[in-house]
Amino acid sequence: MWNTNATTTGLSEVLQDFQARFNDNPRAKKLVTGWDRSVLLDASNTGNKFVLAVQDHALREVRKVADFDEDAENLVHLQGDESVLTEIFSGRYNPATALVDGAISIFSSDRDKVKLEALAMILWRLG
Amino acid sequence: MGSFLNLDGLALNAEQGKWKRRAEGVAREILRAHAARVDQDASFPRESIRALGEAGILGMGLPKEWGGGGQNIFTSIIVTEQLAKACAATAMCFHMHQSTLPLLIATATPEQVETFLKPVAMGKALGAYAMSEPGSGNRIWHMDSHAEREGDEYVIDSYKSFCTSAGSADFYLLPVRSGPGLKPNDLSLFFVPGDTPNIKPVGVWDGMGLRGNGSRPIHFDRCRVHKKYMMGAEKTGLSFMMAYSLPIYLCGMAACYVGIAQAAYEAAVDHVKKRVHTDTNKSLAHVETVQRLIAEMRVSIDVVRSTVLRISQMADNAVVLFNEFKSTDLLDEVMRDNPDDPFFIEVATLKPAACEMAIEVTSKAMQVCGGAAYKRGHIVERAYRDGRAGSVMGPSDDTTKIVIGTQILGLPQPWV
Repeated sequence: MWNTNATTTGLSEVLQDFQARFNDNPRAKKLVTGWDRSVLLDASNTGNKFVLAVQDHALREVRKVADFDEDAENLVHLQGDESVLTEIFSGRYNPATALVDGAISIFSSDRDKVKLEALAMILWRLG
Repeated sequence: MGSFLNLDGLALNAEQGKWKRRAEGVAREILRAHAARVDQDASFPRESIRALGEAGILGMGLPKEWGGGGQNIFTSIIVTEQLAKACAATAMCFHMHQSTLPLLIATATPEQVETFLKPVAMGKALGAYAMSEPGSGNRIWHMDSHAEREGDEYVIDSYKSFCTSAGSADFYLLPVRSGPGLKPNDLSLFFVPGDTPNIKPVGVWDGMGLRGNGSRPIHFDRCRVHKKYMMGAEKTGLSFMMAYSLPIYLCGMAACYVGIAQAAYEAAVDHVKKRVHTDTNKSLAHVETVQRLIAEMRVSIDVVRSTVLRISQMADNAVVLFNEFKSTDLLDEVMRDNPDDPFFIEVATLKPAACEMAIEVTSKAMQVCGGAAYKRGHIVERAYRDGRAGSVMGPSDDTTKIVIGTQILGLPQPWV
């Protein structure tokens, strides 16, 4: 289940919960087969940064980082206010909707944006 | 400033512009010349379809590496609209052909491309989508007919009640159950060559409008096709139709009716500017009621047209997403689990919006033109009849609204 108690839970806890949820979803795991990426979550208003490491068809690791090479290979970079990122990863705000709302920015290849859109459909819409 | 301001609101790229101008040219020189006769005789528009093939327009929706034009839904909508302004019957035949293409792209194996899809890409073949059945009408998620496997062949027994280009198409895309014991929405899709024995068009098409599109019943009377003509996996037909046929079908249908409405509107504007009453020595354009009706027609067309173009761009984006699911073998289950996705509902709104608009606009065009347009053979008279077809074509406006309404109200869709 989504951890929707985001007002009292920080982004770090929300992401731990998201990792478990992701790895319990067979469709999400199927969708990222062969798609090994580092997803950088960049909270632009607080400076907090987290990296979600997708590897071997699973979300292997969620870690807070002090800094990250934004030009690194296979990087997908999501930027937005921390409250927005918290809402997204607690399941209350579909990232596809957040993108068209202008609430987040995504810096990645077109191919990776399609993958994120597909993941949003699987995880946020179909649950 | 780096580029021109775009006050038109719709900027085509160079290739899209090329296809639009090509369609305008064929419509002006060929379709318009044959449209009245096609309508009067209820004859299939062979010359016009041949011209579309020769101009590459029939193959524009297939990949360039197959020999096609490599164009997307948006470009095909722009082209359909141009064709419909000149000859709605031809545009409808083209539209149904176009509606088969994304699904063929999505499902074709390299062998299928080589053996029977390259002629389609080269514009040498016209396709037809044989969907509606007498039992379920326009509720196309329920098919009664089926195919049975016999060795390396399928024997198809299917009666389709309305099939645009029936008897004239070079191939038919046919959804049926692929076994008698399967559920009505466990569909499989077959590419059936038009010269397959036992394809039997029934009667003649004598419609009120769209008289040239040959939309008569057709019976696939125990037609035998090799298993290589099945497109995609067994029982995934409905999911693939939802993903790859429904968006272009609904966008293209709307584009046809936008084109029909535009033809009536332009004829009405021309008429009221030229028709002068001798008692006032003024044209009809000076009558306030006429001015209001002309304005209402324009407003209605513009609102729907801009929506059609916006949603057709969304449909192209959706194809990219569906391809992602297909490439990971998730398409069928995602479509089955997501029958009322907001995207499909938005696409569905185009159907009643455009078809009701066409009825309204063609009716107002006749009102401002008066007796001149009521006479058989006037462009507005033909558009009035052509424009009436959309609302009852499957899925009818009423069925479409029920689908939209059930989604809004959180009720299950009828095919679930």
